[in-house]
Amino acid sequence: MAAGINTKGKMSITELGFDDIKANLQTYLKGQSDFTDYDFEASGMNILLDTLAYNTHYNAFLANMMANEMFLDTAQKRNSVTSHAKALGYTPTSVKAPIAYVKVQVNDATTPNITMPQGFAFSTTIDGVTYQFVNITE
Amino acid sequence: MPATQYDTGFTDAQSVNNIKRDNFIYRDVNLYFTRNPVTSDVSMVTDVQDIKRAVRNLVLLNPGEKPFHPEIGVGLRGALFENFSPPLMALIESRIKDQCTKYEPRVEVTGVYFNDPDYLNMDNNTLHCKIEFNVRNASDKTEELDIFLKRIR
Repeated sequence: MAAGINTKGKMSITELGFDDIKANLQTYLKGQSDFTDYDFEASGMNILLDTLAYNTHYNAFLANMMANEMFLDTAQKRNSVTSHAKALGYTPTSVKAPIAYVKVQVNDATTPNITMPQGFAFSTTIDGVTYQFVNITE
Repeated sequence: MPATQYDTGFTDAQSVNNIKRDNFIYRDVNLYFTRNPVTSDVSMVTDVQDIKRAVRNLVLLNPGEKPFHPEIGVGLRGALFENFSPPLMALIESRIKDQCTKYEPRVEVTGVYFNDPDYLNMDNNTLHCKIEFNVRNASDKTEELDIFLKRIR
């Protein structure tokens, strides 16, 4: 806090950490005539100050998070980034499963028609890696 | 009209018995928020009563309830629906002693008792815990704190 400024009856609100907020509340309340003689380190008072400080910290975190998520440069959540990108005319895509078109040859068939059910599994190996494919329709 | 009485789920025996030998008086806000009949302000608790309230708050606080300090708290309230067994009582006793040693240096716990030798409170979902302690610098008298836990509904 800058020297020479009269801070009596004013509370510093620039800190965002929980402990700093709590210390500021303590300093502010100590300066109030309504709370003369109270011990601000006491158990009951600490519970009240914890509640007040936590509430302030929670709101500060929410405000910070909202401000960050409102801009494409600072957004952290994927949802927010895609939403901003959409407003710029760009629709990002996500990971897609590969599709393979296969030609199946059946040897020694006993019936004229054979149906492969939905979910029928195929597997293939490419460069030593095994991939599983399934029929998406009958 | 009398004020509405709420069942808080616990009771404790507390008396205002100020220490004669100490010239420093501890003061705290009364968390029951009772009215001071003279000033109409929220009443204060002082000295031994203040210390008893501090011990009670510590004992009833569940670990994780105090913001950014999950290590503080005995968790007696959280033990209310645990199995009613001697190991649990031994665990609570050791936690009360540990937590008071660490976080309430004004007291020295001399004993923790569960006044239920025949487990008669088991079916009532009730736990009666008595904590005996000396106030440091004024250890001429042993103080007692009774905490009576029961379900609210």
